[in-house]
Order: sequence, then structure tokens, then C-alpha cells
Amino acid sequence: MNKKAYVINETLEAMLKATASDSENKIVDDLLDGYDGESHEFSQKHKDDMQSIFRLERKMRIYSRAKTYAKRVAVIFIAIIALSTITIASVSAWRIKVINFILEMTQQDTHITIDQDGLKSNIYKHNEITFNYVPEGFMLEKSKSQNNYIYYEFTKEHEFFDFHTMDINSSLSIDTENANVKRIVINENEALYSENNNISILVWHDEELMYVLTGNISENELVKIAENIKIEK
Amino acid sequence: MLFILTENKGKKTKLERLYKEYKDAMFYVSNNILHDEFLAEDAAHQTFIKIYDLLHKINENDCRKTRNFLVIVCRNISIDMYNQRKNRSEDEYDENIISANDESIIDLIINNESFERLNEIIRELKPIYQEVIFLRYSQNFSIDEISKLQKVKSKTAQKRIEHAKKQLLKLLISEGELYE
Repeated sequence: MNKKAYVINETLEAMLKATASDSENKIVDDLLDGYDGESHEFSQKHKDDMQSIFRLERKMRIYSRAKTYAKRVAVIFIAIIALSTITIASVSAWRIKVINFILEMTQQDTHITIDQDGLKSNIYKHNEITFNYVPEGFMLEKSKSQNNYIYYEFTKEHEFFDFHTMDINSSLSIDTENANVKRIVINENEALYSENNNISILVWHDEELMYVLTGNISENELVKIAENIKIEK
Repeated sequence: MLFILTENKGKKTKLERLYKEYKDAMFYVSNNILHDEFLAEDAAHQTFIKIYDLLHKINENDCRKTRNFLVIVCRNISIDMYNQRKNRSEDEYDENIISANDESIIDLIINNESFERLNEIIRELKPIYQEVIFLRYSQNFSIDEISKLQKVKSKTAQKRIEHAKKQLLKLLISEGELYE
């Protein structure tokens, strides 16, 4: 691009930045000329179509929420709630106090990238945690560790799985609308498995920590990863 | 340990809030183009499908900008539907290169009245080019975000912007003031 062409282009860019918004306002005002806010009674088909999109957005929250949990450094746990009304099944095997929690973001995400040399022969070991099984081709994307909070994210093209720990005194909210939910066993600990819109969540615990695995991989793979995670305490 | 299962049915999603706020305006614009309530509803529906992946770009606090974005996208979908119904082909690129000499163009665009003229001639652009101009310069979309919204390759989105700018220059020149 020669100098003159450059000047023309830059000048036009600047003018567009200055005027496009006004122009857009005028055009939309014209398009809405005569519109006084009247409501249209939409057809049932349209309402059904829109509900499908809304459901999709709500379902996608499960993934973003899991990511949010994992990325927040500070978590404040409060508000003890009643037991009986919201349990999904007998709680005899789950004899730990019930606490609801509120997430509060206090700082921006911090990510630590680990050298991929750590991943050998499907085994990943870093500090106190060892993944004795990582599905073929998955590489560590991010990791973070602070006190009882540990977060690891592995990816392989469009597939991923996240692992994070939470304090045993916390509880977890899962969107289960249209989800496949069941109880399974992970290393002799009772676990909850939920699959919704191709996103699976596996939650289990020991005496100190709650463990959460989230991913868009198969249940078998998720369980195999979970069964082969070792944490030194 | 107790797992708490919730469905969050009470809280509206961003998409639901946008729909509730702007569905009637979108329907109004679309119906004025299509003169068919069923198709106008479909255009509103398609608009929300189209913007789904770009929800993060919408600042609900900026009502006018949000309204403009949704109405323009819906208008262009409606025009596409209208053209399809009439078996008209989509807008084609006009690859004519501006042939006026560069100095003349510079004289023109630094004229004091240029902003007002530009404002007017943007209205003369074909809707698809208006859309890329607004997305790029009013809504501050990146090329990738425009390509995502318009379901075209980044290269095509870039080409549309360049073409829109060429058209604007061409229209500026055709105003004739430059040569008076």
C-alpha cells in the first residue's frame, strides 16, 4: 500500500469509528419508526423454538460453572442449610455435614503452564498429585494449586477434562435438568456421576477433600482417570 | 457429603433477558420487511441462534447499542429470507476499484462536511455491507467475531469490510462535490 492509499485508509477508518455509531442509530431509528412498544403474541412454535435455545444456554452453564469453580482462587463457604428437602437419595453413606456455599471472585485468574515433559507414558506427576492414567493424546493445559485447592486441565483438540479439589465442607450445585445422574463407586468411595449435554461431571470425596472431574469424554475414561489419581497428603 | 441438585429455573439467562426486551422490536422490523408474521417470528428466532456464540460481546447496560445490534442482524436475516422467497441472489461483490486519483479522494475525505456525508452514504450501502461496517466500527467486533456471526471465513469478512470501504469512497466521489 502506497503512502496516499495508507492515508486514505487510515482517514476513512477514523471517520468510520467516529460516525458509524450515529449512522447505526439513525438507521435503526428509521427501522423502528412507528413502533411504539406493542407486544406481538408469538406463536407456540416460535415459543418452543426459543425455549430450545434457552435450554441449551442453561445447560452450557454446567460447563462454565465448573470452570468458574476451578478458576477462582478465593472461595467463601457459608450458610448452613436444611438437609432433608433437597437430598437426591438416602444420605446414610454420606454422613458429612451439609453446607451451602457462595462463590466470590476476588482476583483475576492466574494460570501456570507446566512443561509437557511431565507427561510420560500416560502418567502425569506434579508436586503432590499423580495422574496414573491420562487418556492418549491429552496434554496438560493449565494447573493451579493452593492449600486444599488444586486444579488441572487437560485438553486434546476439542476434548478436555478438568480435575479440581474442594474443601470437604463445601457443597456442589449441579444443573441436572435432563441429565443422566447416577451413583457409582470410585476406589471404594461413593461417587456421583452426571452427564448433561455431552458434559460429564464426576464427584467423589474422602475424609478431607471433595474431588470433581469434568469433561466431554466418555464415562469410562472419566472413571478410569478418577480411579488412578493419587494425591499425597 | 451431600450433593445439591438444582435447575436454576428461576433465574433468567442472558439470552432470555435479551429476548424478552427486544423480541417485539425485532419482530416489528422483520415483519415490515417480510409482511409475514410466521416468517418474521422465524427471523427473530434465527437471530438469536446467530448471536448465541457472541453473547459475551453484548453489553446489556448499553441498551441502544444492544438494540441496534439485534435489530440490524434481524433486519439482514429478514432481507435474506425475503430474497430467498423471491428467488433473488444474494448481494454480489462489486469488485470495481476506485479509479479516481488518490489526491482527490484525500481532499474529499478531509472536507469539513465529510462526516455528515459519510453518515448519509453509509445508509446507501447494501445491508450486508452496512452490517459489517456497524459490527466493526460501532459494535467493535473483531474480524474473527464478524466471521463467526456471518458464518463466513475471516478472509471473507475482511474482504466484505474492504469492499464496504471502497463502496463508501466510491459513493463519496459520486456526490460530485469533489469536482465542483
